[in-house]
Amino acid sequence: MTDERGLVPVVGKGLEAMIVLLYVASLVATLHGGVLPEYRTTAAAEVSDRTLATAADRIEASVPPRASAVDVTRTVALPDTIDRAAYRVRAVDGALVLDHPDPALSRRVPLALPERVVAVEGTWTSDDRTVVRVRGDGGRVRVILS
Amino acid sequence: MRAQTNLVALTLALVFVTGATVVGVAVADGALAEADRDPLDRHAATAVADRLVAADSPTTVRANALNASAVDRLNASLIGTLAPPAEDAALRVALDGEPIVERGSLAGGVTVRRSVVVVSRSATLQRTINVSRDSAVRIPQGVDRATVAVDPGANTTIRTVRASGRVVLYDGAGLDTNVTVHLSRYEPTTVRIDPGTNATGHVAVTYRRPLVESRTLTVTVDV
Repeated sequence: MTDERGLVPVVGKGLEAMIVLLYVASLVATLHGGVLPEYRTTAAAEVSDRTLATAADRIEASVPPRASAVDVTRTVALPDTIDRAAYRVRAVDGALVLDHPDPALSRRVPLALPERVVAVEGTWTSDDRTVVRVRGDGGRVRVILS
Repeated sequence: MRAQTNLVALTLALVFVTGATVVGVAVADGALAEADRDPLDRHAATAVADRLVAADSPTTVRANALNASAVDRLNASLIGTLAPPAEDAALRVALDGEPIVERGSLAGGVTVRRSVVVVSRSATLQRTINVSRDSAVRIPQGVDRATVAVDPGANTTIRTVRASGRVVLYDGAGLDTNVTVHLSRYEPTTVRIDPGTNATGHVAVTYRRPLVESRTLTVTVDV
């Protein structure tokens, strides 16, 4: 009889420990399983939007007014990774395309450039050198991403 | 009984922790929603405004100076051609709040403003130098080009036409032409000829005086 009475607090404490462990486990599961990945994706989508818009702005701003000779080299700062993955920025048919391993984070935005820009070409890799070069004469200007 | 009191306290603590977590997640949700700054809308609006006021745009006479007749002709498809980012977007372009172009219904969107001047040209004005009486005519400020028609009378040779001292036309054998010359628009210009004595004829200077109004260009785009 005395032995069993001694066991009661031990069982009680054990029960409490079990409840706390279960609670913590369920909390971690909820946060990591649902809330956290969703936030990560939302934030990454926003970063991806901003990255592409900033890159497009910088490219558009690097084309100088009409001049007899144009030679501009400008570095564009891009985040190294979006959602912990490297990505590429390509120029396709006068538009800027962000290629991300996750298709949901890939983006495309047309570029607004003067008519004398005859070609936009090249590719940037996010963790490499990202430079925009503008070369040309009075009538024709080329924009090269390298 | 003592064990049960512990259990109640534990349940209460867990409820509090759950509450704190829920509040924290809600705050984070709000912060995330507020961090959306519509960068693509902003890019499209900036692109439209920049292309509209650029020096080489069909809507301007020079950088930040809109051509009034081109503004009247402006429409959404021309804006889409000038600034592809806004091609299919809902947009509104206004001068001093007066809409010029509207397309689609704007739900939010980003607005950018540019300070511009709107230039319209007056009807043609003509000043004539009667060579037998005077030798100069004054063109007001703001005129950047004028057409000079030299029509010398008999026994008269006009070799030089000067604008504010600068030689704009010269022919050693004598001028008899009708040409457009460029003037400085920053100050009034005096067009002067130097005929000899007893010269006759006419020199007509034709120009259009620009009327300049300062306005605010507002571009709202919702991609």
